[in-house]
Amino acid sequence: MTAEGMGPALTDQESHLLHQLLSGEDKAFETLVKTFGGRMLATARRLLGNEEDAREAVQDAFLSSFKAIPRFKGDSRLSTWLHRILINAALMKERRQQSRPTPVQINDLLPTFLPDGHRADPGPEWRQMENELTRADLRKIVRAQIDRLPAEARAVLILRDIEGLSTEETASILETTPNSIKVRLHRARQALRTLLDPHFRRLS
Amino acid sequence: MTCREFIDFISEYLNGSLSPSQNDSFTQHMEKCTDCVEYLKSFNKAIELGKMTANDDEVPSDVPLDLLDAILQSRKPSDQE
Ligand SMILES: [Zn+2]
Repeated sequence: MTAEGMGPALTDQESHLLHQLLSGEDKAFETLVKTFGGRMLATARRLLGNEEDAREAVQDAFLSSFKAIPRFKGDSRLSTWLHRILINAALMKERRQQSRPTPVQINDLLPTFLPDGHRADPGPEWRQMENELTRADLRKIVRAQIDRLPAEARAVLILRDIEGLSTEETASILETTPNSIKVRLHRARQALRTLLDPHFRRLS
Repeated sequence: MTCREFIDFISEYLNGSLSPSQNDSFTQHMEKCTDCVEYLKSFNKAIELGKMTANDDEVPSDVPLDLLDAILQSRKPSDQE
């Protein structure tokens, strides 16, 4: 089973819009941006963590999509296709961000084990942070740690756990197989847990 | 089941895709290993905290007007070809 061909066919509304886009109707481009732009901007903000880059990524993505419309085969939903272009635009932008610290390697964020199969650094349990911090502060900590995840892991975590997309749609967006998404999501969750650990472990 | 295998299986356990016998080994491991029980709790918590960042978003369903204009404007030059 591959990611291609899994997307449900276009809805009537989408094929109608696509038709208008192909004939270059101005109104159709406006409809496209108005219909899908809000969700794309939300995703770009989560991926890039700052407003200016997020907006530029959305703009880049729409420009690429306008050019690519004649080549769009309708083998996935329009929203999936646009999201794929957005993620690529955002990851491209991130690679050019000067300020961004070198991301941690995912392998360095996975738990390590002793030869007998036990975890090497079990560490103390997590405490109830809800009592110590406001929701806003808690969110700030978590966002900062999600930002430190390697880009690929961050994308999977955002699409699956934060935006709640299915494994299949995420696979189609990231152009890989559902199975690879499952593996990557599990690793991304472990990595996030590792990054949050110093903030949440019970102080001894 | 070792602790390493337990941790490898957590996501599948959480979405209910372990086979009945894998599921049994998983829960048996939990009964005798407090480290893994703690790991599972914090793993779950990490997922929940990630979700929380989305729930609190003031996600606008609309594209800001200036962004909409910028996008539609930047399409124009290529029309002249
Ligand atoms: Zn264990």
